[in-house]
Amino acid sequence: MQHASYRFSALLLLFSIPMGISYAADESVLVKAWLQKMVKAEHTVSYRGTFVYRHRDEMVVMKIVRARGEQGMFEQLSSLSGRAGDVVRNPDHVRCQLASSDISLLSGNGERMSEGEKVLHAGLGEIDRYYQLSLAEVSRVAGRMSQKIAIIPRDEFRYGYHLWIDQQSGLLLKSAHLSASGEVLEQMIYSEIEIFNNTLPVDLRQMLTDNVIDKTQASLSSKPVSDHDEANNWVVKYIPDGFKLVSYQRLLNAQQAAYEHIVFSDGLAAVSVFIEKMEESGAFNGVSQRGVMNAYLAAIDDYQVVVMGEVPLMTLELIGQSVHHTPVMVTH
Amino acid sequence: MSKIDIPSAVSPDITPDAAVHSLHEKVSSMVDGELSNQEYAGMIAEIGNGNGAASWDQYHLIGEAMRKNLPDTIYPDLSTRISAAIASEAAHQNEPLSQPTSDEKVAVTNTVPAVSQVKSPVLGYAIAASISAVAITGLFQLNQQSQSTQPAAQMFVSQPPQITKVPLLSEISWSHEVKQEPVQPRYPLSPIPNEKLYRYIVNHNEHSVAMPAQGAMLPYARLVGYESTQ
Repeated sequence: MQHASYRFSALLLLFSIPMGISYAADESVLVKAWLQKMVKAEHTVSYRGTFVYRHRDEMVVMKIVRARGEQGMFEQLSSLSGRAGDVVRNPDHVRCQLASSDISLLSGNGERMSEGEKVLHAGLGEIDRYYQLSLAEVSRVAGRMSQKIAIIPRDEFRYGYHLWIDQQSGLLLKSAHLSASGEVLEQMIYSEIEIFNNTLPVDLRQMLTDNVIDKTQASLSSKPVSDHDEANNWVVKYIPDGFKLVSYQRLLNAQQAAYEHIVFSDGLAAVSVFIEKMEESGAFNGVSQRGVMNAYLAAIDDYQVVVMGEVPLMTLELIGQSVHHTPVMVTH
Repeated sequence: MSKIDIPSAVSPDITPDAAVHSLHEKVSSMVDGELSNQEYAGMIAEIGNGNGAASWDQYHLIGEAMRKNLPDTIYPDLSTRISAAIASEAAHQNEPLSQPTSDEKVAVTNTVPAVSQVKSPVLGYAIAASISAVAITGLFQLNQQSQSTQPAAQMFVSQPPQITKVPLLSEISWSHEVKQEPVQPRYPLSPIPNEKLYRYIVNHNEHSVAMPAQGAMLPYARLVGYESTQ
């Protein structure tokens, strides 16, 4: 009787393992489906709302308006507490009016969003190799039923996420960025949100027609360089497993100096590598942080290298220290 | 118990203790999603003014604990301290919130531990003696497939965009055998001016906003949030 019991338990375990694997695979597929729904909603749904942003001990209340027009998404973000700050975006321009700086940038972000969507669809297929994906409970956020998903990194080179996605619209209503050890680094939660299906209210329609950003006042612009004086072969020797090249551009800044902008992504997080000629005053070294967006700065020969992204500083330092260049051998 | 400012909207007829208790109730309702949109907006304003922020954290923690949403790993010394505090208190046993799974062991009691300091920011506030709280002890073993300390590396060699006129470069070579020990972090703050740094950030954000798990404008919310609190 005891042997039969052991045999039954062994058989039960034998059959439950594939079922367990199958359930895990199905759950991973469901999480990816929710992420796809969320990204689509961010590109298509018009809404306005109020949310609380929290990073460590600091908390700020913000207002956001997003309206989709014929040319793409128009967005405005404003702080309601603390020092004033305002960000306005349309498909080809972004302007940040902050307490310490005023940045206006012709960004071409409309095209980049569609590129990001392509990368998204390609990258999501592999994210479960680097993150553990699971569904959690359904709960109310800002009065709306939302599905919580947990995205836990499988190594220490990435952050984790808890996301609460509106079941009906797919919009992200609440989020938390987590360290590899599970420490909550950053949170965002909507207190109220108003979603518009087809008809926009008068003030949002007005926002679309006003084209609130004056492109002629853009103090900074980034445009592709048609020719360049120096030929350098830049090497990024170390990139964590799973990160792939998303974009590589050689651009001109407002001072008409060329710089490289290389973007890697693992499907969820993006890392940028900026490389430009050092200024006469020298290069900046060290780190900087804005929320979970970290930056690592270093000087390599006569160049300023800046590596930044929503990943741990250790990851950025590893990447940054592996950047070097070799002169290009030109053959005629 | 951390000092909580009495909201200006509280009637003068209400005693300070009652006012604080009323605020706690509202914060608790807010965390549980039981407020109307108007009430919610009002509480958000209060939190933005600094009132109820500590309570918001505490009740959020309590709510998350009851919904089992706490971080997967709990620092061992926290567990030990809570256990010691519980052992010294008159415990009121409650039914467990859920049946423990094979991967976790959870002991839930409805008591008032005197935890003074923890490491995680989420748990970084003292649980007040006058507020009934749920003490969570336990260990959660992450089910990670690989824990390599020597990550596989890839190499990237830049090639210019086809639209530019550049010399031909050597083929990209990818090596997955390069091993590198993780660098011990050395993190001095950079003196780079905000104006310069934000130029990089905005360029990065224009790629980052397209990533899932960021949400629309969250990369910019970080920028605005940081500036608003300086």
